[in-house]
Amino acid sequence: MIPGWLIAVASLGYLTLLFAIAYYGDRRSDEGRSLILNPYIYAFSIAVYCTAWTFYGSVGLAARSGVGFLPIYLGPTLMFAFGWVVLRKIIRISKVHHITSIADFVSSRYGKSHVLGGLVSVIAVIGIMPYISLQLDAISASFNVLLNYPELSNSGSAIDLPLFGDTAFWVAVLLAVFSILFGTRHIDATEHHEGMVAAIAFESVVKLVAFISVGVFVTFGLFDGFGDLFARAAAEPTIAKLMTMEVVGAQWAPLTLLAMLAVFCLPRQFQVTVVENVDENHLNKAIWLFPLYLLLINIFVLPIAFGGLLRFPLGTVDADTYVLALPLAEGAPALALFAFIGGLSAATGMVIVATVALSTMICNDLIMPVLLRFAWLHLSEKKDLSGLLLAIRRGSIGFILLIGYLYFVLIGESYALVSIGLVSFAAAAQFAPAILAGMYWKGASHRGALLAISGGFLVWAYTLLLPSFALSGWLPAGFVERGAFGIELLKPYALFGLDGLGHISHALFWSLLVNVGTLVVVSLLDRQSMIERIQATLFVEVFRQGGTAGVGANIWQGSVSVSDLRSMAERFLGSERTHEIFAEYARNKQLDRPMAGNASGELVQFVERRLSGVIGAASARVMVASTLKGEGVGLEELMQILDETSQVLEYSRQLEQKSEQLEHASSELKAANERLTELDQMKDDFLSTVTHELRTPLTSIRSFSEILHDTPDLGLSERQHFLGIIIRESERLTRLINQVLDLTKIERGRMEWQMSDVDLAEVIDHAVSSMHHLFEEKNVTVDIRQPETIPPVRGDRDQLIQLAINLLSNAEKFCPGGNGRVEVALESGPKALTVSVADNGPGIPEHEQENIFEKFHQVRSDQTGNPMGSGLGLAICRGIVEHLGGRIWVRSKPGHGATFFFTVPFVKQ
Amino acid sequence: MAKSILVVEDEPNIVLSLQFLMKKAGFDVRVASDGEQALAAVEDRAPDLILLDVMIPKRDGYDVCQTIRSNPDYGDIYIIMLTAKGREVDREKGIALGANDYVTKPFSTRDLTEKVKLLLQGAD
Amino acid sequence: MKDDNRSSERLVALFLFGMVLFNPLVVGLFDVGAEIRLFGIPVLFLYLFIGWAVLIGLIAAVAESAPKDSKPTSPPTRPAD
Repeated sequence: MIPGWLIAVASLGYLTLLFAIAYYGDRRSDEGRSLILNPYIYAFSIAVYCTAWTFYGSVGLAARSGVGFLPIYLGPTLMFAFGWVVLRKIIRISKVHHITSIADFVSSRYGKSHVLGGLVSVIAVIGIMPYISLQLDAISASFNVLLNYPELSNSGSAIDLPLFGDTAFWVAVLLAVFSILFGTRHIDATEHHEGMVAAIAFESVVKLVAFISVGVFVTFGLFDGFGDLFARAAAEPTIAKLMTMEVVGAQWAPLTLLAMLAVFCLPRQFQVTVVENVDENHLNKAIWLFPLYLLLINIFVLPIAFGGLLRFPLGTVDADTYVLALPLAEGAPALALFAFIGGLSAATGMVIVATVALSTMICNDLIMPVLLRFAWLHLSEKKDLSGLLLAIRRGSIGFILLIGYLYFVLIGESYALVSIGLVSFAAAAQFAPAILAGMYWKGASHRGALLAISGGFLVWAYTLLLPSFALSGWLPAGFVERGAFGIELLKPYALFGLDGLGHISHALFWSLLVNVGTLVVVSLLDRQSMIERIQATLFVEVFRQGGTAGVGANIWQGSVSVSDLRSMAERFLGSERTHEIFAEYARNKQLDRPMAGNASGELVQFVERRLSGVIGAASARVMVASTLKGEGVGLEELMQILDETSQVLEYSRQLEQKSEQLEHASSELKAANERLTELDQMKDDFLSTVTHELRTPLTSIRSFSEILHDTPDLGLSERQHFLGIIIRESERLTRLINQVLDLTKIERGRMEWQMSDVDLAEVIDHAVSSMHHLFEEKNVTVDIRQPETIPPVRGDRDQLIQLAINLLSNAEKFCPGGNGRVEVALESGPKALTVSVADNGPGIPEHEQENIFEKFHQVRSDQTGNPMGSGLGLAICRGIVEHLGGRIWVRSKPGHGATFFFTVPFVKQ
Repeated sequence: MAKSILVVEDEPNIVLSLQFLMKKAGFDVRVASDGEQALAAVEDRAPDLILLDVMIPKRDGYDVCQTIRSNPDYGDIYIIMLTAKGREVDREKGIALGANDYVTKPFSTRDLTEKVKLLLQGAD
Repeated sequence: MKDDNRSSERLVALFLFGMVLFNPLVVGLFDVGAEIRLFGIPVLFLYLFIGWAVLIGLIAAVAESAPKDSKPTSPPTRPAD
C-alpha cells in the first residue's frame, strides 16, 4: 500500500530528472560536445525496443505460454547479426539523403513520392496507435495496482472506475507535454534529438536495473534460488506444462520473423537506430550490446512468472502485474515503487520516441506536402515557416496521444498487453518488403511499393484491426465468427479457411504474402519513371557511389538567384540556420566572395538536402522546384549521367585493380631479375677468379714440363729443382681444387658433417703437430695457452682440424722469416669456447678486415705484393665456424700482427 | 749485343721458367715483380721487349703498358702481355693499350719463344 | 573493404547459425519436460538462454575484430556538396 501522493511525486520527480538529462544533452550538443558520441549510449537508446510490454507483458505471456515470449527478443538478436549488412546500409543511405523518418525513407527511395510518404505515415500512425494505448494502459494499470493493492490487483476489473479512466487521460496529457518538450524544442536541420537520446538511454538503464531487482528479489528472496523455484514450479502440473514447447505452439517461428522485421520497421526503432545515429561505427558495438541487453532483461521473466503463479491462486492476480504484485504482497513496497518507476521508464521512453518519430512523419510527409500543394500561395505570404513546422509537430504529438488514449478507452481492455503489441508489430512489418527490396533491387517500383504497402495494410486491418473493433463491440461480433457478409471464407481470423495458426501468424502470413507478391509482380510489370530510377540507383549503390549523392548535382540548372534561394530556406530554417548553412557551403567550396547572382546547381542541391532534413525529401523537392525559373536539366539526361558515372566508377575501379596487379607482377619480376643478374655476376666473378687461380700453378707446371722435355741436357740439380716446382705446384693445384669443392659444398649445404663431441685442445695439438715441419722450416715458434679443463664442443672433428690448420698456415705465411711467433690461446666463455691465433706479421689494414673472409679476397704482402694464398682458406673457415653456430673475426693493428678469433659453442647440457 | 728482355711477373716459379727460357734463347733477362719495379727498370735501361703479366701488385699490367706507350722515348719497346684471364675482352683491351701480342696462361713455351724471337728478329 | 566483407560474411553466417539454433525443430530436441533439470534449471530454458548468450558472444567477437570505418559519418562529410 503506497499513498497516491508518493507515487505521483516519485513519478513526476523521475520525469523531471529525465527532462534535466535531455536538457543537458541538448545543451552539450549545442556546445558541440555531444553527450551521445559513444556506442554504449547508442545501444542503450535502441533498447527503447523494450517497452512496458516487455516490462509487464513478458511475464504475463510467460505465465500463459512459457518461453513463448522469447521470439520477440530472439528475432532482434538475429536481425542485428544481420545488421551489418542491412542496418548499415539503411544508416548510410539515410545519412547521405538526410532521411528524417521511415516514411521519408520509403518516399525518397521510390521517386520522392508524396503519396507513398503519406501512406506510410498514415499506416504508421494507425499501426502504432494500439501500441501507444498499451503504454497508457500499462502506466495507469501499474499506478492503480500500486495505489490499491491488494483490493484492485486485477487491472481487468478496474476499467469501469472513473478514477482509472482519468489516470490514463492524465498520463496521456503528461506524456504529450513531455514529448513536446523532448522532441520539438526547436527545428534542427540535422534532425538529431541528442537530449532525447540521452534520456532514453538513461531510461533503458533504469528499467533494466528495476526489472532485474524484482527478479533477484523473487528468485533469491521469495525462493531459494533458481533450483528451488523451478523445482517447486515443476511440482505443479499446470506450471510444469509451461516448461515445455507444447504451450508455445506454432507461433515460435512466425513471431521470430515478425520481431526481426519490427526491430527496424517500427517508427521509433527507425528513429533511434537510423535517424539518431551519429556515427556508423557505433553499430559495431550495438549489434551485440543490444542483444545482450535483451538477454539480461529476459533472464528473470520466467522466474517472476512462476513465482507469481506459485504465490497467487489462479485468477486472483493478473499475470501482467506480477512485477508489482509480488513485491507488494511480500512486503517490499519500496521495491514495488522502484519497479513502477522502471515500468514508467519503459512506457515513457517508447511514447516519447514514437510520438516524436510519428509527428515528424505527419508533419513532413503528410501535412506539409498537402499544405504546399493546395495552399502554396497562402503559405508563401508567411515570412517564417519554422514556427508553423513546430506547431504542426506539437499538434501531431497531441493528436497521436489522443487517438492512443481513445483506442485504450474504447478497445484496449479486451486484449492482453502482448497481443496489442503484436498487432502493431504486424503493421510495421508491412514496410519491410518495400525497404529491403528498395535497397537491393533497383527494379522495385513506386507503383509496386504503393500497392504492396496498401495491400499488406488492408489485409492487416482486416485480419487484426477490425476484429479488435468487433471484439470490443464496435462492429458486429458476427464479423469475427462468420466472416464479412456472412461468408465463411472471409473470416478475419481464418482467411480462405487457413486456420490454427494463431491470429498474429495468420495475419502475418496473409499480409506479407499480399505485400511481397504485389511488390514483385507490379514492379516486374511496371516501367519506372526517371526520378525513380535515379533514386533507386542512389539507394542500391550507396556504397559504390562513395557515400555521396553528389552525382545528381546537375539536376537543378534552371535559374534561381542566390537571394531567392536564401529567402526560401529562411522560411523553413529561420535566418540564423540559413545563414549557417550558406556559410558552410561557402566554406566547403572555399569561396571567398559572398555568393550572388544565379545559384549553381550544386548550391541548389545542397539547400534541397538540408531542407529535406527538416521537411522531408518530397516536400523539399517541391519547394526547390517552385523557386526555380525555367527548365532544369532533363531527368533523362541526369539518369544518363548517373549511369555513366557508375559505369566509369566501375571501369576505373577495375582499371585500378588491373594496374595494381600489373605493377605488383612487374615489381616481382624486376626483383627476380635483379637477383638473377646478381647471381650471374657472382657466378661470373667466381669462375673468373677460380680459373685465374687454377691457371697460375698450371702455367708453372706446363712451362717446366716443356722445359724439361725440350732441354735434355739439363744439369741434375736444375732438373731436380724444376721437378720439385712441378710437384709443389701440382700439390697447390690439388689443394685449390679441394678448397673450391669444400667451399661450394659448405655454401650449398651439401657438406657431410660428422657431428660429435670434440675436445678442441686435442684438435689444436693435432693441427700444430701436423704443421711442425713448416714452422721449423721458417723458424717460427708456436705457443699454446689453454685452461686446465675444457668442456667439449659440438662439431665435426675433421673440419675443426681443417679450420685450425687454415688459421695456423695463414699465421705462418704472414710471420716474418727468422723470428716468427704464433700464439694459440683457448678460453672458456659462458656458452662457447673462444680460440685465438695470433701472429707477429705485418697485420691487416683496417679496411681489409671486414672483407677478409670473403672468398678470393687476398691480402697481399706489403713487401712483395704477392698474394699470400688462394683466398679461399678464410672463407672456408668462416663457413665451418658459422655452420657450427660460432663466430669468426679478426683484430689487427697494422705493423703489430693480426689475431684471428673464432668461437665454437659447447655441447648443450 | 744480346737483346734485353724485362720479365714482369709476381709468381716466382713463373719468373724462373721465363728467365730460363729467355736466357736459353740467348736474350739478356731482367726481372721485376710489380708495376712500380717494372717502370723503374724501364727507366733505368729501356729493354727491347717486356713480358708483362697483367695481374701484378701496385700497378697492374694494363697501367704499366699504357704508361710506357705514352712516352715516345719508349716507342720501340715490344710488349707481350701474359695473363691468366682468358677472355676475349681482356685480349682486346691489351692490344688497344698498345701491346704487340697477348699470351694466355698456361702458355706453350715454344710458341712464346717463337713470338719473342719473331718480334726481336724482325726489328733488326 | 576486404576485411569489412569478411566480417559481413561471418555475421551472415552467425545469422544462419542463429536460425538453426532457434529453429523450432532444434529447440524441440531440448523440450524434455519439467522433470529433467540441469543445475536446477529446466533443460529447455538452459538451452535457449545459453545458446542465445553464445550467439551474442560470437557476434561480439566478430564485430569487435572488424576494422572500423574511418570515415566520420556525422555530420556527414560530402565532398560533392
